[in-house]
Amino acid sequence: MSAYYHETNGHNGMSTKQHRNGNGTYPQKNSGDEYMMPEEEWERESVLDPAWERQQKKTFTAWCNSHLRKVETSIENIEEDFQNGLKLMLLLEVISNEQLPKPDRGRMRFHKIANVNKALDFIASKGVKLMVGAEEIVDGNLKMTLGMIWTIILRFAIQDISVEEMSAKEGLLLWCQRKTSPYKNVNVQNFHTSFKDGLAFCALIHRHRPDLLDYNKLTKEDPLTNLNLAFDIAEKHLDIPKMLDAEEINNSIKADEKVVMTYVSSYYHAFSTTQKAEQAASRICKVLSINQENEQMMSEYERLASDLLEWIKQKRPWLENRATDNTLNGTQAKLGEFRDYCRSQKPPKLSQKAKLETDFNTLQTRLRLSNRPIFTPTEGKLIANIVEAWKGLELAEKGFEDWLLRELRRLERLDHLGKKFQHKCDIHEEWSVGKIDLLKSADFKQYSLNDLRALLRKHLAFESDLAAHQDRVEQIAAIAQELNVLGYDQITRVNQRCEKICNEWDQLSNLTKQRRSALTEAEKIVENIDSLFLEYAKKAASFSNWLDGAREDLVDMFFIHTLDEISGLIEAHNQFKATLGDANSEFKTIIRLVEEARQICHENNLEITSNPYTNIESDEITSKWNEVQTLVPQRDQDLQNEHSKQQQNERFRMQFAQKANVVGPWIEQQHEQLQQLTVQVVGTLEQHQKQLEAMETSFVQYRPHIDELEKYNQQIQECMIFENRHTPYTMEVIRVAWEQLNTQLTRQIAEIKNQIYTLEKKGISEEQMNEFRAAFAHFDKSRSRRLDPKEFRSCLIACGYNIREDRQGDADFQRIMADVDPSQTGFVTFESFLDFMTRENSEEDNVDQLIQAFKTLSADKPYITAAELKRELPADQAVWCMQRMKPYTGADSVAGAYDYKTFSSALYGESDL
Amino acid sequence: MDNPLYPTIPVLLERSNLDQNWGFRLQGGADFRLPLSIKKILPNSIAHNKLYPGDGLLFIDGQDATSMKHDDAQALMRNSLRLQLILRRGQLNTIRPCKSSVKFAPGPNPRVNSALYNTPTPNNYRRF
Repeated sequence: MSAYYHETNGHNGMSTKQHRNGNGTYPQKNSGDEYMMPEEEWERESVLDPAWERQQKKTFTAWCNSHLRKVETSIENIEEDFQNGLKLMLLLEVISNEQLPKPDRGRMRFHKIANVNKALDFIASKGVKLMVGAEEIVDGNLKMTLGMIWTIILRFAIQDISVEEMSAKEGLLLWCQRKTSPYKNVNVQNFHTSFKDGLAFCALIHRHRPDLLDYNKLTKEDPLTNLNLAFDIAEKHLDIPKMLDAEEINNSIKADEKVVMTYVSSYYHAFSTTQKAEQAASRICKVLSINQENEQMMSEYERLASDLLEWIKQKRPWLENRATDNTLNGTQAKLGEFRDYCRSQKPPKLSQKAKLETDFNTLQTRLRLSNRPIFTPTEGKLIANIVEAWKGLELAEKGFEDWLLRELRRLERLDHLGKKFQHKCDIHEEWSVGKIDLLKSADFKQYSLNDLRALLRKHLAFESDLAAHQDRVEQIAAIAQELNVLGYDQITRVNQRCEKICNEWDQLSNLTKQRRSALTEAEKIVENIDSLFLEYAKKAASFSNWLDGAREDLVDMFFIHTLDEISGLIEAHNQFKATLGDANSEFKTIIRLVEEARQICHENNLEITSNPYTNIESDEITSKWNEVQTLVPQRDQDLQNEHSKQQQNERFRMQFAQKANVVGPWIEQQHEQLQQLTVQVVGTLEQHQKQLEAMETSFVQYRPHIDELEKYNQQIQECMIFENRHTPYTMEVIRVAWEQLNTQLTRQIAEIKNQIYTLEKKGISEEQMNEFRAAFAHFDKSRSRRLDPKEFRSCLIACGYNIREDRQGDADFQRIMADVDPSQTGFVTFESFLDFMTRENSEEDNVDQLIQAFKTLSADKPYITAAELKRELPADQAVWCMQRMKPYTGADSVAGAYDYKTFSSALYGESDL
Repeated sequence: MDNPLYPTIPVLLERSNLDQNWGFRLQGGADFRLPLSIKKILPNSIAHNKLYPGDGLLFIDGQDATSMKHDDAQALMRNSLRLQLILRRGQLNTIRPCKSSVKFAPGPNPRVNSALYNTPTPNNYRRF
C-alpha cells in the first residue's frame, strides 16, 4: 500500500499545494494515487466536468449507503450529510470493522471539526496521506468531500484487490479482463469507454451467475437495455445498489472512471466469495486425486508382488526335484525344458521384479513428496521378501543345471559300460562254449602213448589259454562292479550274467587242475610224440591267442571327448598296424608247418590224423587272420569318423568361443559405460535420460547376438561337449551379465525419471540438483549409487546438519535413517537422499490446508453435506469422499452430515483428539 | 530401549465429558511404521503446556503404545476421561540443517575432506 500512498517528495508537495490553492481541485489525488491520476490528466481535471461531478455524487452516495444500511442509516446529500462528521465516522467503522474514538456530541462548529478530524486521522492511520482539511468538509465543499470519499473507496474497497502483485487499478482491470475474456463483443481496456455499452457488466454477471441472464440474446446495439438489465439484476440478486445512471454512462463521451471502478469493485466483492469456494474445491480435488493414484499404485504393487511370488513358489519344486527316470532321453528332455525356462520364462519375470522394485521406490517417493504416510506392503510382500524368494529361486536353478549335466554324464557312461560288458561277455562265452564238456571227457583212456603225451601238451596249452583269459574275466567282473556303483538300470541281468561267468570260470579252473593231474598220471605211459605237430601246436596256440586279442582290440568301443584322445587312439592303431608284417610271416610259418606235416604224411602214405597237440585247425587260423585283415580297414574308418566328430566338436567350441569372446567384452564395456553414466551426469537430466534410453535401444538391438550364442551353446550341449578352453566365458556367465546389465539400466532409467519427477514436483533447479548429486557422489566412495550409514552421516554433516559425535548425535542420526530408509535396507539411495534434502512442509499439501478447504466449501460449518460435496467436487471424487467419510457426531449435527476433519487427518495418518 | 537423551515423563490429562477435545493431534502408529507421537497442540486446550509437539508415546493408560495401531490408540484416547500417558519428550523432533552446506566439485576433491573433518561444529543445534 505504501507503494501507492507514499509520501510525496519536496517538489511534488510544492506543486500539490499550488494546485490546491490555485484551482481548488482534489488535493489528495496527486499524493494519493499517481497511477490513477497522471500529471497531464490533472490539468484537464482542474476544470472538473460537471457531468463527472454529477456522476460521482450519485455513485459515491449510493456506495456510502450500501455500507451505511448495515447500521440502518443513510445519507441523501453527500456534501451536507457528512458535515458534522458523525455519519462519516459511522461509515468508516462499518467498512473497516474497527472502533473509532467516541464522537463529540455538541452541535458547535468546533465539535464538527473535531469529529471530522477524528475520521481523517483514522484514514491517515491506514497509511493514506490526505491533503483535505476538516474545515472544507464541515463547510460542505463538494469537490473536497467527493475527493475524500474516493480516497476511502480506493483504500477500503479497491486496494485489497491485487492480482499478481499489480496496482489496485490494474488488478481490478485484470480481474475484469480475465472474467470477460470468453464473451463476444466485450474487450475491457479501461474503466470508461469499455463499459459504455453495458455488455461488460452483463458478462461479469453471466460469468458468475449464468442463471440470471441469457448473454447470447444481448446485442451491442442496445446499450441502454444492457446497462439497465445489469443494474437491475445486480440490485435484485446480488444486493448491489444502483450506483450508476444508465443514460449518463451511455451519453457521456467518456464516463468518469472513478464511478465505474467504484461500481465494478462492488461486483468483485460480491463474486469473490464464490471464487474462494472454487479455489477450495480445486485444492481438495488435487489432494484426493493424489490419494486415488497412490491407492492404485499400491494395489498394482500388491498384485505384481503376488503374481511374482506365486510364480516363484510354483517354479521352485520343479527346480528342486531331483527325481530321475534313469534314461538319457528323459534327462535330455529335462535339460531342454530347463533351457526354455532360462530363455523364455525367466527373463519376463526378472523384468517384472525390477519393475516392482522401481515402482515401489517411485511410490514411496510420491508418498513422501506429498506428505503422506509411507506405504507398507502386506506381510510377506515386502521388497525384502521378494528379493529373498528370488535368491532362493536362483540357488535352486543353479543346483538344478549342475545336477542335470552330472546326471547326463553318468547315464552316458553307464550306457557305454553296459555295451562294453555285453561285448566282452559275448566273446568270453563264445570262447568257453564246450570247454567244460571237453575237460570232463575221459577220451584219453584208450589213447596211445603219443596221443596221451599230445593230450597232455594240449592240456598245458589250454591252461595257458585259460590263464590268458583270466584278465578278461577280471575285466568283466570290474565292469560289472562299476555298473553296480553307478546304478545301472538293468543291473540284475548284468549281475546274473557276471555270476554265471564267474561260476563257470571257477568250475573251469577246478576241472583243469583235475584233468592235468589225470593226464600227468597217464603221461608216464605215453612216450611217442609228433614233433612236427608240436611246433605247429605251440605257434598256432599263441598266434590264435594273439588273433583273438587283436580281433577284440579292433572292435573295442571308445568313449572320448577330445581331439588328443582320438589322436592317441589313431597313433596306437598305427603302431598295431606296424606289427602286422611280423604277424604275416608268423602266419605263413604256421601254415607252412601244417603243409609240411601233410606232405610228410603224403610222402609216407600215412593217413593224415588230426594234430594231437592242438585242436586249433589251420583253417581256423586262416579265417581268424582274414577276419583281422578285414577288421583293420574298418577300424581305420571308425577312428577316422570319430576324428571328424571331434573336429566338428572343436569347431563348435571355436564358434561359441569366438562369439562369446565378442559378446563378453561388449557386455563388460557396456557395464563400464553404464557405470560411468551412473556416477556422472553430464548435461540436463532429460539429456541423460535420452542417453540411457539410447543405450536401452542398443541393448534391444544387441539381443540377437545373445540368442545366437544361446544357439551355439545348445549345439555344444547336444554334442555332449563339457569343457571349452578357447574362452573364459560360459553361457551362464554371459546370461547373468546380460541380465544384470539390463536390470541395472532399467533401474537407472527409473531413477532418472524419479529425479525428473522430483525436480518438477519440488521445483528445484537443475543447478541445485547437480549440487546434491555432487555431494552424494563425493561420499559414495564405492560408486554403488547408495550410501552406507557412515557415509550418509558424513554427507549430512557436510550438508550443514549438526550431528554431533555423541549419544545425542547418534540418536538424531538413527531417526534420520529411519526416515530415509523406511524399509531398513541399511542403505540410502540417491532418491531418498534428494527427497530428504529438499523436504519442506509444503504450504500446499498438509492437513490444515485440506481442512481449511473443506471448511470453505461447507460455508464454515464443522461438517459437510452430500449435497455440498456433489455441488463442489467432480462426481467420482465426491463419491470417493462419501464412501470414506464418517457421519459427523457433534452436538450441532444434522441428518446426512459428514465429518471432514477426521477424514482429512486420516488421509495423512493423523487425527485430532 | 531406555534412552536418557529423551526423558521419560508421566502426564495425566483429565476432562469432564467426552465431547471436550484433548487438544492435540496424534500421528503415527505401528501400521505407519512411525512411533505414535504428538504432532501439534491447540493453544489453551487441555493438552496445552502438558504435551509438546515431538513427544513420543510409550504407554497409554498402562498399555504398551509402541506396537499399537493408529486407530486403536485413537479409540483408546477418544473414549477416556482420564488419560494417563508415559511419554518420551522430544523423541520425534524434526532435524534441520543449521548451516550452509559444503560445495562439491563434480569429482572427488581432497579440499572437501579437510573442510569436513577439521571444522569444529558449533553446539547451536536447532530444534522444531
